Amino acid sequence: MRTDCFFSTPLFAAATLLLFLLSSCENKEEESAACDDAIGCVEIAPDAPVKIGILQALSGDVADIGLDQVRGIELALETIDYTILGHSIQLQTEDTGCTKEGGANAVLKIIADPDAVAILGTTCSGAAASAAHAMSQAGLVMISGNNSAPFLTSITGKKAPDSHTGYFRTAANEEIAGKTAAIYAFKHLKITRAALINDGDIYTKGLTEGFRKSFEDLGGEIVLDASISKGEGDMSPVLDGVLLARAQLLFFPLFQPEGNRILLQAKNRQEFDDVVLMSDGALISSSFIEKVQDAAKGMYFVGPAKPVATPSIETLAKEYNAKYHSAPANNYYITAYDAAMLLFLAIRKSAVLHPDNSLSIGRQTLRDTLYNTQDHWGVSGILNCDEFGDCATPRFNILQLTTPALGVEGLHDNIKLSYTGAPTGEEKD
Amino acid sequence: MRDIFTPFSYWNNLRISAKFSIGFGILLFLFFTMAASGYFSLHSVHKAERTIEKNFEIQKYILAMDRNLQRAKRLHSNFLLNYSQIGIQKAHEKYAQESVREAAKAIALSTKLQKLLNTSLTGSIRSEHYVNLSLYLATAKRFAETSILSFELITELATPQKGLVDQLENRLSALGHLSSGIPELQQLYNKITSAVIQYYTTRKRSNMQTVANSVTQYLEKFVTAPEINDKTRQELESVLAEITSTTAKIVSINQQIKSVFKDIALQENNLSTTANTLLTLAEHEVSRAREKISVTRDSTLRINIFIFLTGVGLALLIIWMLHKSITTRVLRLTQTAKLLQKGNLNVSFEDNSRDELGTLAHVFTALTTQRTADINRLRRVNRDLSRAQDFLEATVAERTNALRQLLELSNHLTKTLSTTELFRKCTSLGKELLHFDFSPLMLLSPDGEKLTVGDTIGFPEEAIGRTFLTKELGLASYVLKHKKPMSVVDINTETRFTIPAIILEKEITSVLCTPLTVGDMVFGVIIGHTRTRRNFPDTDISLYQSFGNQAAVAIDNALHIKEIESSEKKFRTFFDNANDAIIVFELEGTLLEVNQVIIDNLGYSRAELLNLKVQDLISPEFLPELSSHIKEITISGKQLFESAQRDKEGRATPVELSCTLFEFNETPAILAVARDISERKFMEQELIKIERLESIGVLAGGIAHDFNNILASILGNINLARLDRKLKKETKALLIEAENASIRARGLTQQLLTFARGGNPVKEVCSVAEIVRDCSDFVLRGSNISCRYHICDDLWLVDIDKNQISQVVQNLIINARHAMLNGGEIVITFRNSLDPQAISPAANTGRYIEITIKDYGIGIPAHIIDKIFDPYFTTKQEGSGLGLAVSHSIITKHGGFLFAESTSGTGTTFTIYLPASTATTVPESPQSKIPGESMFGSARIMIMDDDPMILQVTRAMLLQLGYDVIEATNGAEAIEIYQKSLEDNLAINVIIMDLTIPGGMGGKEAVKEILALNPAAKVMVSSGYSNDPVMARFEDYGFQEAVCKPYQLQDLQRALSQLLNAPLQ
Repeated sequence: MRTDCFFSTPLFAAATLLLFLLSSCENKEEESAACDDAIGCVEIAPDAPVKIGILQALSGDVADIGLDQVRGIELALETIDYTILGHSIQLQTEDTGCTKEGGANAVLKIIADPDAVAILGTTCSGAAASAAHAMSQAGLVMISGNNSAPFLTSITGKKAPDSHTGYFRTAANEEIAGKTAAIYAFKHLKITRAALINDGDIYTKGLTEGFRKSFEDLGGEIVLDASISKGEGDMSPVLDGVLLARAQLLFFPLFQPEGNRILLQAKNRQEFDDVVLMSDGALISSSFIEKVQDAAKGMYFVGPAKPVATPSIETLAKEYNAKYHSAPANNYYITAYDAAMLLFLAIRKSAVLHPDNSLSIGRQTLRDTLYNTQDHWGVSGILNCDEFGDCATPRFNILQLTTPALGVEGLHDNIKLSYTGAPTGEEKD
Repeated sequence: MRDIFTPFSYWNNLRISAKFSIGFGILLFLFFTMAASGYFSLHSVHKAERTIEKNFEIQKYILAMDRNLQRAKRLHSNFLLNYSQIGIQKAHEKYAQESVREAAKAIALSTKLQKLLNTSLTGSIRSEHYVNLSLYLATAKRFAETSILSFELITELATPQKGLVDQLENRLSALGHLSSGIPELQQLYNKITSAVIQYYTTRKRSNMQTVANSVTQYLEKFVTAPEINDKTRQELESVLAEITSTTAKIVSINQQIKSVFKDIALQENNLSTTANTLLTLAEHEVSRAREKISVTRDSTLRINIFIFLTGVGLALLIIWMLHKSITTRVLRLTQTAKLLQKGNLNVSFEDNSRDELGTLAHVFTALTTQRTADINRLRRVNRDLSRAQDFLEATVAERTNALRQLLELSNHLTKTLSTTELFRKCTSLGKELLHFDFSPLMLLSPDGEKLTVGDTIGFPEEAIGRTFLTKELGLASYVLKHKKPMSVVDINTETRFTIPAIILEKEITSVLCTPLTVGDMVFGVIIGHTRTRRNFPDTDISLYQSFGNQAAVAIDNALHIKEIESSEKKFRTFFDNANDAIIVFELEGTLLEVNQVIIDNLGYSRAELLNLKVQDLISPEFLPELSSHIKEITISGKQLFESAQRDKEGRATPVELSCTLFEFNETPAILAVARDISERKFMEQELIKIERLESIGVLAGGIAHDFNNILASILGNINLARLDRKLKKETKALLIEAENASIRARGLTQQLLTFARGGNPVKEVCSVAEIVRDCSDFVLRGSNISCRYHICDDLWLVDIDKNQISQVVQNLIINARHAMLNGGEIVITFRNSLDPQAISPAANTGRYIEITIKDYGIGIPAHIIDKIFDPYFTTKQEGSGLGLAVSHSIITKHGGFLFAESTSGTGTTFTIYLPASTATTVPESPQSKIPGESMFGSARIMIMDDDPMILQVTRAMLLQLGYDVIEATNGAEAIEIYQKSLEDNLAINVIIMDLTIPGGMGGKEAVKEILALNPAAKVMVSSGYSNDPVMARFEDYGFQEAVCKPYQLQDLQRALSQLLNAPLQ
């Protein structure tokens, strides 16, 4: 083109104008692909991480259990190399403090982020009750490797009061734990008068209620059903009440330190020499045994059966040891591992990977995938998730601590009674 | 000039437009760059400012939210602190409700803020804000829920009387009361109460456990306490149970309250963290935006300075280059041009560049060279032009002169209207124009076969008017055919056409002929001859042709004007001599043209009429309709309607207007032909009158006929009654009065019948004067009125019904007598009339006699004179009002006319016109029959009538007369009876038959049958219509006698006598 023509033609002006137009255009955000999920989709950009929340009790006297939960999750993350479908996993960890209000506030922090996909937690059932409600309303899924209160899923095959859609657990429903304890107390220990102490938490109340029902059904009498407050130090009034009620057995499924105090103060009173003491899985912990030592000798515990020793468990235990340079304080990390792995698998199944490497995860699709989990080979056993969110087969043992020095392992090995399956399941010595 | 640098030579060789384009393009580019940088920076700054604005707004919202929430928390705390002092209700009102409202405000603000974030921020910033804000919002909502829960719990606990605390106190009080008097129980009671108090102080569940333990002990104690009766025991059980449950609830609620407080503490943490995060984010964004503004400002400043400096440099360079390559050279070129202008033809402009200026330089040099050569050539041409100019001026002068002559000719021609003069002018002017020796003008006949000499100069005058066949005049026919002029230089050598002898005789050598043409039509030729040989140049031919055209126009105009004048004359003749009035007027009424008829009819002069409008010529009562008629005419084009014209004196004449819409001098106008219809109107009125009279007559006839029958019965019975000899005198007198009255009634019905049916007059030739004299004398006998007669000599005879005319005269004289109460004289005049049209337009041609009866009575008022001939019209108290109506009817039936003229207070003149008879003498009347003596009892009479009354009275009469009577009700029955009588040989001597039997055979038909049976039968016809044609000429219908109803006994007797005594035929 001749230079004289170029500069004199309107082309020049048009080209200049075009520059302005182009410069004035703002980058528009890319529109997301249409999502036809009933709840909605989490759209993850090509280089963005998959966000998962962790709600565990990381402070207080149950912090070790919470910590074990976290470790189990971390082991699962290592198994999948911290990656799902090419996207890294970003964790947001919040402390529930093992309280209802702690769970309620902690879950808000996670669900505030609209990109949060799921929650792994909680440690305590009380925190789970309030957290699950908010989580369910926000459309997420929550899987716990530790919650066992029946109130969170189902009681006698019916939806429990605190059951919320999207809540799952790989820990067993302790609906039959109380029953197991009652059966053992009544049938094996020939106890006819039992006293119950809980701390107002739905977990402990669930256990005492379970015990009460079964014990009374068997013909026993609950002579005292008392509550103490978390953090309470002086247990003498309630212990007086036990004595006044002339209970033969005291079932006190409490957490530390309340459980510790009950035990130690009872053992300081001669009147309790003839009173059988029984607690639950919350105290099946090396820290408890270390703290109470011989005072707990002869004490009974009802807790979930230890997973069957499999190569997976051994491998996992080794990994735990290698990573954390210590033996696990309890087995709850296994169910936490299973819970995390179940979640990662479900995300992988539910997500849609787009050509540009972005991900779309339908929330309802993710829930449906979890509800449809059948015959999943977890480390803790075969997992089948029912309509209420229970994925593990319940199996409870009555344990007796006879040699505190053997610690939790010794306790687990001293099984007095095993009870599995549905509330009408088999009992086995 | 040789370029020093190759790039500069390239620049030099560029076109000027390219140089300017490049130069200004570069400047433009710099300008745009500056503008762009300015734009971008402004845009960036604007975005940053918007970000700052938004973030300030976000901060504002956050602070507002936080304030609300903090206030809500403060109020919550105040509630907890003060409810025990001021009461739950007041604490609710003062603190709890306000706290909830503040929380709600915070929630609302956070919702708004969320929307604001959605619309204002983008990308990761929005995402971060969104998360924190969602957490804040959720936490704020949770605070609202938990604070409300805490209020509810505290309310449940602390409500006066109904709260758990008061309930417990109440139960404890009851327990104390029940425990009084029993030391052990009292002790336990004290333990319980102190444990409760301790619990309230410490809020430790263990204290309540102590209460429970004490209650257990209490229960164990009082179970065994003998002092307690059953009733008290029951009460105690109840109270203790209530204390147990209440304490458990108190503990539970307190636990919940504790949990709520912990929750609120955690929320506080969330809220403050989140709020701080949001504020920090916002501040961070603000500072980033400010930084961005600063960076943008600095960058823009640097860029603009750079661009400015660059632009200035470039501009200077471009200016220098343009100056060098364009301006300098232009100046040099200008100087060279100035030298050239001064006349220095040796200058030149050297420039080897290939741009426009280089091209211009080459052109300039070439032009200079060429200029010199051109100047020399121009000098030579100038000399030639001078010579040509002189020649041209001479030719122009000559032509001008010729055209002047032509114009003068044209003026002459147009001023001459007479064709003879015009022709002469054409030939003489033509001769003069080109100096001809001879100049004829010839006109072509419409069929084109002949040429007639219109005029000629040089040739003998006798030739004017001579006609030649076109084909004999070779040159002229050639010119006519081709419609263009033709010249012949030497006629002797001409071979194309034959030469007329006269041309040769006159020794004509050269000829020029041109056609007389108007448009495409050629109607003649004009020719110029010369004796000397002449070669007509084109200019002469053209000039002569123009002359010929001018002459043709003038001749054509003259001929047309003559035609128009002739046409105008014809029109005027038709227009003014039409039978009807003709006017032409504009749509709004102004008269444009009028003919002589209307001038004569209305009495105006032509000039007066043309100053009027059509509305001035129409009678006022017809004016309202005129405009609608005119409107109708404009729509349909024509209209025919009746109206009335008004003459100068104001007299109205009915006219029929036939109007047509047309163009008159290119203006819409109406042509109206007005025909006088006054006579037609008169005739229409007369016809209406006659029809009215006829319809009334039919009615009157019907009534009269029926009345007649009744009268026949009455009169007949009276007749018969009078025959009774035993009647008293007075009775007889009464019967006579009744009979007279019946006879008067009969007369009246006769009048009616006459009026109704007219009754064809039974005419006979007679002298009307005698009848009139006899009647008048008879009527006026004994009165104070006399008659004077004026009878013309040789008064013609008339064919009249004497009775009827007598009746007419009688009526008129009676009316005159009534009008002249004081007596006087009636003048009756008789004369012959030969002018029927003067009588009435309806009068036939022929002779009439005129009878005038003039009285000098009170006269008839003008407003009733038109009604005097109407039936039943009367101004008198007595009288039927039929007299004049009947008179008019009788005269009309005679073919005559009856008129009345009257002046109130002076008198009345009745004028009768009767057709005159062609007879000159009065024939003798036939001998009347001599009635024979009546025969009694020897005849059988059959009477046929449909009216039982007639049958009865006639039977009685016949019996009285001694006849045998047979009755029949109709003609058929009568025939049957008669036939039977013939067969039985019982002769019926006379048959009296009613003329008409409604719905059956009447006498008129039956008589034929009877006569067929017996030609000698004697049949009498009876009818109420005395003037019926059958009654008037009964013999013609087969009857031998007639008797009119109502008849008296003697009438019947006389008729029967005549019939029975008549010789057999």
